[in-house]
Amino acid sequence: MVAIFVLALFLFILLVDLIVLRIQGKSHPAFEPALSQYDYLVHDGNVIHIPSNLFFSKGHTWLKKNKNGLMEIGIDPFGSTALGTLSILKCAEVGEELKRGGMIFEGSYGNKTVKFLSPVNGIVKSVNPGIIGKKISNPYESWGVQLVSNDSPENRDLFFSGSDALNWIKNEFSKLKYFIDDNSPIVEFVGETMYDGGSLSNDVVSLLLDQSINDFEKEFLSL
Amino acid sequence: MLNETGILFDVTLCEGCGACYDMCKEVNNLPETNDDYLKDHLSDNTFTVVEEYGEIYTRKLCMHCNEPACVSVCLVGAIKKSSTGAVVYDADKCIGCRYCMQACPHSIPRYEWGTTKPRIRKCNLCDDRVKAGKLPGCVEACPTEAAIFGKMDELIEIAKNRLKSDPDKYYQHIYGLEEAGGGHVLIISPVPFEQLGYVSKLTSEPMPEFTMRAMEKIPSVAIGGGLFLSAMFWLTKRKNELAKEKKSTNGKENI
Amino acid sequence: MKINDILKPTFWKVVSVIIVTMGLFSTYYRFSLGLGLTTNLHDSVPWGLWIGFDFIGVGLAAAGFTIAATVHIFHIHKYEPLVRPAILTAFLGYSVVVCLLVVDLGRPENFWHPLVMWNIHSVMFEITWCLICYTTVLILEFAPVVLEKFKIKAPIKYLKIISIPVVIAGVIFSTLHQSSFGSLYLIVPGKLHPLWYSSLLPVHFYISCIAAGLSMIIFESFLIARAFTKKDGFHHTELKMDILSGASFAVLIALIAGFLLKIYDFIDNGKLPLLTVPSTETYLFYLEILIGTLVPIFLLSYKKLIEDKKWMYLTSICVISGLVLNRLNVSITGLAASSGVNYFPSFDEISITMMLVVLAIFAFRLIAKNFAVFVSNESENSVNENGTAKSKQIILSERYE
Ligand code: SF4
Ligand code: SF4
Repeated sequence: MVAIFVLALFLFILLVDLIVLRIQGKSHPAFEPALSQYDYLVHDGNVIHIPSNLFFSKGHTWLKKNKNGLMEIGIDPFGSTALGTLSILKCAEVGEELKRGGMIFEGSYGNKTVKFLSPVNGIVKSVNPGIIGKKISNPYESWGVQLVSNDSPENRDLFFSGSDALNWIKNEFSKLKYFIDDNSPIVEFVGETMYDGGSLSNDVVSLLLDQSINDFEKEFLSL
Repeated sequence: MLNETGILFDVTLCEGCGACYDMCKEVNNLPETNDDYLKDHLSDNTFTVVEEYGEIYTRKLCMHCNEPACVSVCLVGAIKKSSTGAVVYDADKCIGCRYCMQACPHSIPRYEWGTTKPRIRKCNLCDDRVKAGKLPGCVEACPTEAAIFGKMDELIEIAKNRLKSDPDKYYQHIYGLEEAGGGHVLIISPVPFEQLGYVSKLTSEPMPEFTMRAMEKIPSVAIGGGLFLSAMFWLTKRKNELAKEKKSTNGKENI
Repeated sequence: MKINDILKPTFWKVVSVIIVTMGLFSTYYRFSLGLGLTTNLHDSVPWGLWIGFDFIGVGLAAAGFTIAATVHIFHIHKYEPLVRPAILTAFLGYSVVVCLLVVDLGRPENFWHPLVMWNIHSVMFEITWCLICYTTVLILEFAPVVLEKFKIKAPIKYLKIISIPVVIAGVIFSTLHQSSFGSLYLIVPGKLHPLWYSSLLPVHFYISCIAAGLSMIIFESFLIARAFTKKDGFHHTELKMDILSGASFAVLIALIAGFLLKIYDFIDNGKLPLLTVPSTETYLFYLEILIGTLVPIFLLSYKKLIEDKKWMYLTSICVISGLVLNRLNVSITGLAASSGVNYFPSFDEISITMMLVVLAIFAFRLIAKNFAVFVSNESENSVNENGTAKSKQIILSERYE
């Protein structure tokens, strides 16, 4: 009897706590709805899909060498979801001679604009007209630019692939979590939305300080 | 053991008069606890009781074990074995953990729950009286000599003789001779002892043995554990260092 | 934090104040009226809720030595962030236990007697000494945190030098007294129900405390994540899922080991038929095994579930509940039949116990707030790398101080 009583009391207190949190409109860390970004940390490769024929640059673009020698370049899953869903505003223009580190895409998360840098040297052969002004839903389908390039994506110092790429992207997501925590002026608010499971992925960018977006570029989009 | 004394209680001779009960209260200065002594039970103010089982009367009191559980568990040594064999208690040492009550196989020790300076209470075989050459109170009071006092080996002899000379009258067992390692109170009766409310399924092994088997492993656990942990400390440290060295040399090769 | 913030009533603050007030009254009554009037203990039930709760408290504080050993002796540095919370938990857990013991002692004014009056044959004596030594070890292990705070550098150097022997001593003392809590009952083979009585009782206690202690740390991580928000200036209190998953795995191993030992014990001593006897004891035994062992083993053996925080949380609650049931079954349920009475704790017993638990939680908060209990090397590095944390600190202090 005593054993049951103590156990029931213990469970009862936990339950009351959950109810209190619910009344306050918060949720318990164990039961907060998962945020899509942070799921990447928890689950394995089944969520972040890393196609084996792609290479990833540290500026969060992916590269694919086509059979005809052209190089396709697009935005990777991190780039397309980090601070909300990315929409592409501009691409490099056809015929332009791109240098590694030059601007290849300009996109926006909400009202904040970010630049993606070209991972290789080359001449722009064609641009995918279908991506401009749209939100990226499937990062691997929407290639943005085709280049004629002599650079090899197999250079392991510059590009990731396979499980290296997976680990690196996971790591980037966990860095992102700290980054968001550290760059929100309205700390309290972020704290709550995170625990509420509010649609952080779309709102988070509006909470960031203006200069933070530069930090974000420096931290995550530089090569 | 040879010079130790104890009590032999013969259930067949007891008439349930309650003289021992009264005398015990008197020599220990205990207040009255029940109008009808046959309805009383052991308590902080009652060290022995006379119990009625149909026609038969028997007594309950501390068995003064040879290797008492209460003595072995008391962490401050407040319960001790006296030179007479009695198990005696020193309230000034006691911290009141009540482990002795929990441990006693006969559930004898009682506690002064009602006070803020409580003591453990139980029969002490009138140790002071015995040392002064007198009989324990209950033995002195017993009009039928159902309880007799004497040297342990003599008492055992008497008990055995009684069982042998009158096998029909007695259930062939001396309670307290082997129960929980034996003690200084022996009981013989006409019926099996569980019918008289005695704890019957006790091992002949003294209770402290059960603990000793675990306690004696402590030094080896302490020393073995210490050695094992130290060894693991050096081993894993070395392993980490090796791993680090390997990493740094690998790194150099790559460059 | 302004004084207004502290005084602002929240649900749990109000509840805590009520519990502590009731507890203080009960404590006063307990010491002025004695045990008999304030507890439901009596001659047939000398040990009640308080002693049972001591077993629980000590069992749940076991992470203090397992984590310290993992990190400092086995050099698995991944678990470093858990060390300080674990040691603090252990320390506070033991404080609760010691306070409860003192409340439970009939003559609390004599509590120092075991220091000078020895009976080395007593398990209780061994436990007392191990408790004293281990609490000292915990203080030594936690001292650097306090000294750091007050910038007293000199003793830290010496503490560093002795730190490894101290950790080893801590592990040994813990091993000894955790198992000795089981040994306490070795002397009552006739009284304790055979479902729980076993000559392996010390080993059962030891293994189950490892599983439960780690589960407690997992459970506590959730409590911490729930209670310490950024708002209060805590930065490293997020759930670290990879670390917790690792700990869950250790829990799984300990649970399986404990279960196998139980099976061996039952077969070896021919106790299997007892499982079919319908009685309160049997049902509670089943409940204990089900909640505390089988369900967690089942949940933990799915990799998916280990990595899901919801299930990890529920599993830790299961294991903790299992330990609670087990310890109370041994100390109360298992002895009920032989004592012949049905013991249920009195109001004072319950309120004093709850008060001590609330005070321990409060102390945890207070210490965590003022000392660097939550530090993580990993995030310190990342702070240095990006330098952004500094700006944030300033923002925080502007807003909240
Ligand atoms: S009967 Fe109980 S109280 Fe008396 S000596 Fe034996 S163990 Fe101690
Ligand atoms: S209650 Fe007193 S006599 Fe009994 S074991 Fe504890 S300290 Fe010893």
